[in-house]
Amino acid sequence: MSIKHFNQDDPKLTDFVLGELDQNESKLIQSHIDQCAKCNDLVKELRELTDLLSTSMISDQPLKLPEESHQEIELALASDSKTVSTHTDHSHKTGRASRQWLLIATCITIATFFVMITFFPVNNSEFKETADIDTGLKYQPGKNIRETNIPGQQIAQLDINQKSSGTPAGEIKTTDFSVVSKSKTVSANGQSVPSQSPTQPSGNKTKKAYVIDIGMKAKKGNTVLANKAEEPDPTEVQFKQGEFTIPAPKFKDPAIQTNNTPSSRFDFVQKKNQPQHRSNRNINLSYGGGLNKNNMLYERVPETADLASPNQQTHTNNLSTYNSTEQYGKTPVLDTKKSRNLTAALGVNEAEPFSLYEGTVRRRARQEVDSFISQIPTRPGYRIRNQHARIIENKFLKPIEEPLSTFSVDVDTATYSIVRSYINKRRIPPQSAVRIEEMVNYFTYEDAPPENQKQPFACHLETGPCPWNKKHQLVRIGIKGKEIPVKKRPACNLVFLIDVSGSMDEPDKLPLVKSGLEILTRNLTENDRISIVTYSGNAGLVLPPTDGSKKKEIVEKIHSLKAKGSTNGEAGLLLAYEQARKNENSERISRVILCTDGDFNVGMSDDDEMVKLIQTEANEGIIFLSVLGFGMGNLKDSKLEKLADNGNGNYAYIDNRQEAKKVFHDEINGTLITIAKDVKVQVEFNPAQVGSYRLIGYSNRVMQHHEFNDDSKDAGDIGAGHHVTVLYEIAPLGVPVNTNTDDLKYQKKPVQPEEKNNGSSEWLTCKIRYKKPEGKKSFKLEFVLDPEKIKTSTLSNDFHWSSAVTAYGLLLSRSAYQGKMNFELILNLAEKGIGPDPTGRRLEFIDLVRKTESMLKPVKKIETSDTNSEIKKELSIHRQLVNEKEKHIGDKERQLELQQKLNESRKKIKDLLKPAPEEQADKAEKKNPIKLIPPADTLVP
Amino acid sequence: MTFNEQNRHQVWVRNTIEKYESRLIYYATRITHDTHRAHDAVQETFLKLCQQDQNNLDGHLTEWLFKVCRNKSIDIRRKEKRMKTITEITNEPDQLDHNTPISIAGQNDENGFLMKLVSQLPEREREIIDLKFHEGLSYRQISKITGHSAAHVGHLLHQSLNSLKIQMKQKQT
Repeated sequence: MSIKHFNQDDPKLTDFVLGELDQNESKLIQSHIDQCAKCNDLVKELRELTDLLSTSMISDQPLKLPEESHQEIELALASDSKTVSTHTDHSHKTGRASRQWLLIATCITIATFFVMITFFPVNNSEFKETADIDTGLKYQPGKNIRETNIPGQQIAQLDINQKSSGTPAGEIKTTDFSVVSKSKTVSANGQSVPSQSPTQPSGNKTKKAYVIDIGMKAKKGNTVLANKAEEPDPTEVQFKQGEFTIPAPKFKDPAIQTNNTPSSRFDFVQKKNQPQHRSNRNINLSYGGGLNKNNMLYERVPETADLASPNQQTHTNNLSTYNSTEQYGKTPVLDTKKSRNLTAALGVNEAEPFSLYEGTVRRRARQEVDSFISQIPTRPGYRIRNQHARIIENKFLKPIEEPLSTFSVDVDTATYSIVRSYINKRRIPPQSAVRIEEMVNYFTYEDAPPENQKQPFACHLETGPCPWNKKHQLVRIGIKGKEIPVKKRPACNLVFLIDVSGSMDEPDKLPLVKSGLEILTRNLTENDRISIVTYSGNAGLVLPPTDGSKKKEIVEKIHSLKAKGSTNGEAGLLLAYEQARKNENSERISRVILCTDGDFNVGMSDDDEMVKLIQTEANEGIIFLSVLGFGMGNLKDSKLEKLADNGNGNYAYIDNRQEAKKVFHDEINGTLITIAKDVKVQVEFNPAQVGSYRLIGYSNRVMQHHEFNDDSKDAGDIGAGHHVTVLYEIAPLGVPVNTNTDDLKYQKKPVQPEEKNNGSSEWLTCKIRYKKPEGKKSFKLEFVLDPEKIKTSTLSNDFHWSSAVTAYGLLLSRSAYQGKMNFELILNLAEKGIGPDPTGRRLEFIDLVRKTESMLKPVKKIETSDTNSEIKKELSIHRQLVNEKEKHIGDKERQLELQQKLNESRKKIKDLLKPAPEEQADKAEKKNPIKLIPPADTLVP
Repeated sequence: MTFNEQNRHQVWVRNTIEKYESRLIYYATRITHDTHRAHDAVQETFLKLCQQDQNNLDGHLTEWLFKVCRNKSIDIRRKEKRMKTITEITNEPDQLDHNTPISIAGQNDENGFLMKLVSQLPEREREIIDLKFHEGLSYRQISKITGHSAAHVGHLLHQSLNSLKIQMKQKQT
């Protein structure tokens, strides 16, 4: 059947371009277009336009509702919507009759408490807000404000008394409670809370009793008790959250875990300083990444005096009274449009300590294993839910005590794209998202590949002064994998496992997967086999193993992918391996490539089980697994990295089309072809030359020394053309490194280096062990760094560049070892090392650094409104002059005078329209380079 | 509603908010031409969502949200139009706004020019273009949201694309 020509007015064509026709029809049109040049042109034009439209429509910054709205929604959500919300509406209508009003108010309070008893809220926001309703209604008619303070003070005194007389264990709960509730500024008593945690109620029954207790007191109408409900004890909150929202059966109450005391203390400290530091905290919140908060909490530690001192207690007391007056004083003033906003607006002040409690909860929970972390559900205030495993920095070690440094290589590049994605969204990435080695390894370097074709990689050693610490040296170990030209790529058997769950339905997820696959399809040949498996609620085979030359068919299938449903990663994984096995062939490289935004939440949700499956497949069937992460907001960074590691594959994160092109086209061989398996590095330092050393990055790759020679131990893999950079910061002999420990009491000081002097001028020996991709036995290579033998005095571009990227990474991870770091230094290094930069990625890095710098600048006052009003003023003067000139047309003298004035005014307007010079501001900033504050470990004496 | 159910409900609502917040605000802003009003509309939408059952909305959540948001935005716009203050009216057209360096730069750029053309389209067409290209919805979803039939949506879209194409061509020549 042939189709008639399309003219420009046929909507069919638009439908076709937009992919709205059913398959048969679109096939027909496609076949017609292939033959007819005219129609083909039309389609091309339309495609261009639609592409342009969708690119220009993408808004770069996510829009957010104001915080009050969120709180209001939370309120509606927390209270069982139907009953309570109708009540509130009602109260609004009858607002004038104050008696009725009060009656209804009590009704609401009682009703809400009953709701609470039955449903027990997940978070304590309900506590807070119901309490607000209570106080709000009670005091609005104009009762004496002072009254409210008196009971509060009494409780505080009671607290001090009880503390000094030593409280019996059973009473502690109530005491703490009153303290917490009375003021946001919890006194030192808080310290006893975590240590007493075993006395906290542990079963359902006790908890109920506890809540009913409050409820009953509240019925009496006691205002103080209403206050009490405002701020439940932090451990209590945590307890609730732990018990209810986390379904994991293995879970233990984090409160019982050790190490609670210090962390909770920081929180109290923070609260104590609250009134003074409000502005500080605002900055803190704007940091965005939820995880940072903890860091900022630590940071305040030195500011606080001894918590236990009684003076401090009375001080807090005063503050608290001040706070409560402030709070009540506000109540009658509030005059919002919406009745429910009243509570929300009141909640703003209290909401801040609440989020701090969450900080505590989060931090404690993070001490558990990663898998456990991944099950904590969202709570308000934590809208970004990307999960990154915690990173513990490597420390400086002395070769005398610890001559060996062993780790597995890592060729993942995800961190850099993740960081880029954060920065482009104008957020500072959380500390734990930054794995420095993955940032450094993102770039291609100039290091030459091995000359000997049998050797899988070459190793380049280099040393130079450390840019951020002048006394130290930096050693760069560059491992360059052998390159395989794109044309010589061996045939591949690829199975794409694509997550098409509902969460992938976003412009930076599934569409990006599709365009990436399309790019890849272009490069396929007839020897290749490609199949596509999708998973959402169920796993489905979209494309059975297909010849790589049938491009049209493949592209069609790619376009048919649509996102919906839940996520069942297990079924998908099993099906993908099944497909891969079907086409397994000794001549083809088999690889499963997982494209997902994060979770496998249905089915085999246990990480370990999945990892086991992947491991066995990787070891036996030579089916490797690569992982490509997409999108923000739900990214399970830690989990994806783990999967890729165990599947002998690499992990990359794709945040835009360029990145998709990089992974699917430019570096496709690195992604597909593994040239060496289980690559481990062991460096031995010469104690006669090196005082102490520190491995930068690779902190989750460190291995036991004996594992280096153990072939059964899995390690990282290197793909064709991959480059691995390892940097050591070295303190030469005699340069002290702050190790923060006292001298040993029961051991003598370690042997002095002079005694051990072995006459060698070598600094270190780098040993690399690897297996061939299909082999089981490992080979060893050795390289030596002897600075005296290095003849060239100039450092390579690679050295500068890798140190620039490392410096940026150290800065972002708030490293304790960043020394004298600032943006200027990073930019200088980067400019020195930029080299030819054919791909433009290095330029992009510099841009990223600049962006970060601008984000961390102190916020300037916005003057635009000022200049705008000035311009308006000038314009009105200008208009007046013009009018006047028209009036006095005959009068020549007057005309001249007016003309002069007009010229002046025009000049003024022109000047105002020019962008204001920012030189002065820049100069001021150079004097105080902005620095991120290192974490607590270094600050606590 | 047992506790678990309520918990699941809350998680669901929060996830939905997180996912759709930005998109809905954008959409509401395009209808109401005002950030505050858009925020109000979106807030109302989510409040309504709190009262909904997840099972009832499964499969057409996007449409439901956009439809509710659309109705709320139109309501708000209608209400506020009646109460335009004098200052607002006098402030509205300002010569200056078209002459700032930013807006001039925006016009030269191809994307900016296109966006300007889009903003000059009739409201009905512009809305559909937004829904199609900004939100990436299908004809059927758009028809559910706006109340036009799917075929009509296609027709409108086609019409507006054609006019955009012609205008773009004129600019190039």
